[in-house]
Amino acid sequence: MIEIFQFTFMIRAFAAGAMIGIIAPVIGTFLVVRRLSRLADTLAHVSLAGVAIGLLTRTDPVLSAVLISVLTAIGVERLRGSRKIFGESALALFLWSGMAIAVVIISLARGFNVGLFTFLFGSIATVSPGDLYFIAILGSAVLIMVVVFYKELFFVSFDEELAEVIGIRARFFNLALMIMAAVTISLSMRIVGILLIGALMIIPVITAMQFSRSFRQSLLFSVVLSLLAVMLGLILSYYFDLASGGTIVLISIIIFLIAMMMSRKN
Amino acid sequence: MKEDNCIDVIGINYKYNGNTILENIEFSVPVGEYMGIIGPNGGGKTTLIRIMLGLLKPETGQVKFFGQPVEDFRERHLIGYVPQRAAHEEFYFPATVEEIVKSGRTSKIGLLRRYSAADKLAVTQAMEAADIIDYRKRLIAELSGGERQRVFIARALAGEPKILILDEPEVGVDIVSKDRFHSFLKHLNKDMQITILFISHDVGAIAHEVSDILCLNIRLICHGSPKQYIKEDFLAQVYGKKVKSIYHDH
Repeated sequence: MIEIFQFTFMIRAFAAGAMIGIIAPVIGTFLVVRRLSRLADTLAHVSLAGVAIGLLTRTDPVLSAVLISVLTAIGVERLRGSRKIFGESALALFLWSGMAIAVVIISLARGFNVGLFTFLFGSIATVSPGDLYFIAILGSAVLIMVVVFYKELFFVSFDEELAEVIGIRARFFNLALMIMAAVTISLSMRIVGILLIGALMIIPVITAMQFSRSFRQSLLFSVVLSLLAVMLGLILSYYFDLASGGTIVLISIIIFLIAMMMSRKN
Repeated sequence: MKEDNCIDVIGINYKYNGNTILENIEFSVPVGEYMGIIGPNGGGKTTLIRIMLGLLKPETGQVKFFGQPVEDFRERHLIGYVPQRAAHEEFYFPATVEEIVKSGRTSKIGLLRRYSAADKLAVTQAMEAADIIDYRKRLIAELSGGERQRVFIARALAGEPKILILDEPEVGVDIVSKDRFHSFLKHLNKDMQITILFISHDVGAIAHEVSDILCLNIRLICHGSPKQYIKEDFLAQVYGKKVKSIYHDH
């Protein structure tokens, strides 16, 4: 067995990375085609407030991040659905609110800077067995939801208004997508980090769209590219002692640039 | 209200920001009709369609599909709707023609059910009817406005609708495609017995095609045979100034 797999923390990191590498681009595909790429950033910044609350109250920061980001997802969807403000403005409002809450809590409780740093930038050494179970259970739930409601999610993503006309409950599926995005982001914090999770949800998707010839292909290729970036990123961050999140995202960007050059040639 | 009507619009009134958009609109669409709804831009055509489809609530009045109020009407796949923006909007959505048409079956199949062989056959037949079977594997973004319009009609047909509602379907479609488009719609109406509602601001484009015309400018100005109403003095009343009707030779 090669050296990297002799450590149980690395095996946990790879297992968690595999799940995140699958669900992040799957949910990301639906966000990209709906022009909701900024949602990932908003929910990630709100997750930071959840992490800060978790660290302050000495509860599980991943759990508190999931709860806070799911509540935010519901809030964003309700505000977007009310059409009282632009969807983009609703996202900005929640992003700043999340950041403001996080900054205030961090300033209140000096002393968890190291713990917070691992959530901001991702760290392969911090995936606990509890985190792994949590990621496996919620990640599987997200995947099952997408498989079961694939045709409805596709329709609502393509034409929300027509979905309502023909009797598909677009509001319900919008909300479900928002909640799945919130869960995915919170689960990915350990590996990719809050500041960069949005990149893992979006970059493999826009890379896949450079050469995909169908929606299904876009989904499939984005998962393959994301898994490639996560696995390579974890290996490189182990051997060169790098922050895993940044390494994974840089690899995704390199793959994107190669795909762009190849699609221009064609 | 007759039993063989597929749509009944009863006393619809609608205001937006205090301005009257629709005033006492009342008409019926019998099964098998090919009806044109004309009127100037801002005359309330799209608002009327949105109310009919249950996307907007009227202040007063009711819309019924096959005798049932629209809000209680469950067999929504029987309504095929091609929205106004369909042909001229830029699409970056990475889906194939076949994936889009197949999605038109979603409502008919229902939740938690997968596509069966019968569903696949219906999708193929819808693509054949709309003459888009040859580019089933092409991305929607690669198509022209006219081709895209046919894809959206095929998507509606995949749900095996009894009514097809087209909101300004010719916008963004070139003249050659328009000819093919009109004969295709006639085929759907005559051979497939689909009731059609064709909304347009271009009187000449549909006057020769439809069997019944409805002129709308906030109020319902006429409802009858196109020959009876498409005259210059009457059009002046609908459009607010003198208009010359130019019949397109399809």
